[in-house]
Amino acid sequence: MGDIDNGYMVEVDRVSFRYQNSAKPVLTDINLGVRRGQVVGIVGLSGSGKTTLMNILNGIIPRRINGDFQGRVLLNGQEITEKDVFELSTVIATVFQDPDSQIVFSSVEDEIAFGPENLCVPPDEILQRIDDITELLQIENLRYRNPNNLSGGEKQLVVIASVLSLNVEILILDECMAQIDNKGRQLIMAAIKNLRDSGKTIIMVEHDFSNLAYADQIYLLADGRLKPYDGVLQ
Amino acid sequence: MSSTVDPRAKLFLVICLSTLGIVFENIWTLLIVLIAELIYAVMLQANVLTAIKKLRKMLYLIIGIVILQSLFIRTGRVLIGFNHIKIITDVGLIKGAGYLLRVMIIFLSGTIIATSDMRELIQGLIQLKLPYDLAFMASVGIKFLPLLMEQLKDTLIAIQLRGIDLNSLKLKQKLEIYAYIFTPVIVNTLTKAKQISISIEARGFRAFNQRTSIKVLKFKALDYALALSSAIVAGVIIIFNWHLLQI
Repeated sequence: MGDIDNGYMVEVDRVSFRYQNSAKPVLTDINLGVRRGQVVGIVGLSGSGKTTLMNILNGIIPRRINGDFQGRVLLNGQEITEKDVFELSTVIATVFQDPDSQIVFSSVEDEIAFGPENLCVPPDEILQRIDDITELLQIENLRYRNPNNLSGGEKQLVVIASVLSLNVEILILDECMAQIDNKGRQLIMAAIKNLRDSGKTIIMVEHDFSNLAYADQIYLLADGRLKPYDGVLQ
Repeated sequence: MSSTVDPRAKLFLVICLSTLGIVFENIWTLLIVLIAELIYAVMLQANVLTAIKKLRKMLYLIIGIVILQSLFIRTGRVLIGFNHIKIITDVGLIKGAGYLLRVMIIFLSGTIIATSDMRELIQGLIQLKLPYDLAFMASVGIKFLPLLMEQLKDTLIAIQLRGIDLNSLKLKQKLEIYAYIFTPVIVNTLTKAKQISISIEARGFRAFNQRTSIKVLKFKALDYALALSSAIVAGVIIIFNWHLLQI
C-alpha cells in the first residue's frame, strides 16, 4: 500500500478475501490505515464483510478461517498475517458480537481475570484491573455472579470487561453494542472515551452511526470495498 | 462446608471410592462404597436429590442394561427360564445389580466434583502439576455437554413453535424428527465450540508457557482431614472385601 504513511499503527494493504466454497470475494482491495490513539469506525450493512475485516485485523483470518487471502496486514510495520491469534493477543484484543461464545467461566471475576492471567500479569495487578474495570462499566455488583445467568446486555458488558482487562494497545469492537440497552450503551461509550483519552487505538465495527460519536474517522464498507465516509451517504 | 474444601481433597476422595467401585465386584462391597460415597456427598452438600432426579431420566436405559447384563450371564440358579433356555439367573441378576451400583457410585462422584467451582477445579488440577491446557480443556469439555443439550432443547422448541406437537407423534415420526434435527444441532454446537476456541485464543490462551493466577489453593486442616478419612475408609473397605473373599 504505497499511499499509506509509515506512521500508521495498523496498516491494511490491498487486502482481498474470499471464503472457501464461495464464488464471490467478500472483501476486495481493502486499504486502511489507523494511527496510534485513533478511534476508527467501520460502518456497513449486514453481510457487507465487517466481521471478516475484523477477523483479518486480529489474525483469525487467514490463520483460523480458511479462504483465498491476498494482501498484507501490518502492525507497527511488521506483517502479522503469519502470526497466530494468541501471539497477537498481547497487542490486539477483540470483543466479538456473540457474548455466549466468549464466556467460559462460572464467575464474572474469573472471566475478567482469564486474559491477564494468560499474559502472566501479576495477581495483585489483575485484581486491581478487575476493580477498575468493573467500576468503569458499573458491574461491581456482578463480580461474583455466574455470567451464564446474566441478561444479554450484562453478558456483553462482562465480555467487554474481560477484553479491557488485557490492557492491550489496540481494541477491536465488533458490534459490541448490538444487544445492549441504552444505559449499557452509555457506559460503553463512556469507556470508549476513557480509553481514547488514555491513548488506546480503537477500531469499531457498527451498523449504527450513533455509536460512533467518538470516532476520529469513519469508513463505509459496501460491496466488499472500503471508502472514507465524508458525511454523505450514497 | 463444600465451598471451603479444596477440590484436590475432593478429587482424592472420588478417586479412592470410584477406583474401589470399579475394581471390586462383590455386591456388598459395592453397596458399602456407595453408602460411604453417599455420606461424603451429603457432608459436602452435593446436590444428590437433583442428581437422582436427573438419573431418573436414564432409569429405563440403566434397567435395560442391567437386564441385558444378566441375560448374557448363564451361570447360577435359573430365576426365569423358558423350556431349557436360561433367561435370568441369580448370578446374572447380582452382576446386573453390581453394574447399577457402579453407575450410582460414578454418578455420586460426579456430584461431589460438581460441588467445586470449575475455576477452582482447574486450579486444583494445575497445582497437581497437570498442564493448564489439559485442565482447561477438560473443564471446557464439561461445559460443552450442557451446551449440546441447550442446542437440542432450543431446536426442539423451535420445531414445536412451528406447530409440531412432539408428544402426539408416533415413535417412528419422533425418531424421524430427531434424525432431522441431529445435523443442525451438531453443526451449531461445533460452530460455537470453534468460536469459543477463537475467543479464548484472542484472550491470550497459550500465549506463554506459564501463566499467573489470582486464585492459589492451599490445603487446610479440613482438607487433610477429608483426604485422610478417604484413605482410611478406602483401606477399611479393602480389608472388608478381603474378608468377604475368605468366607
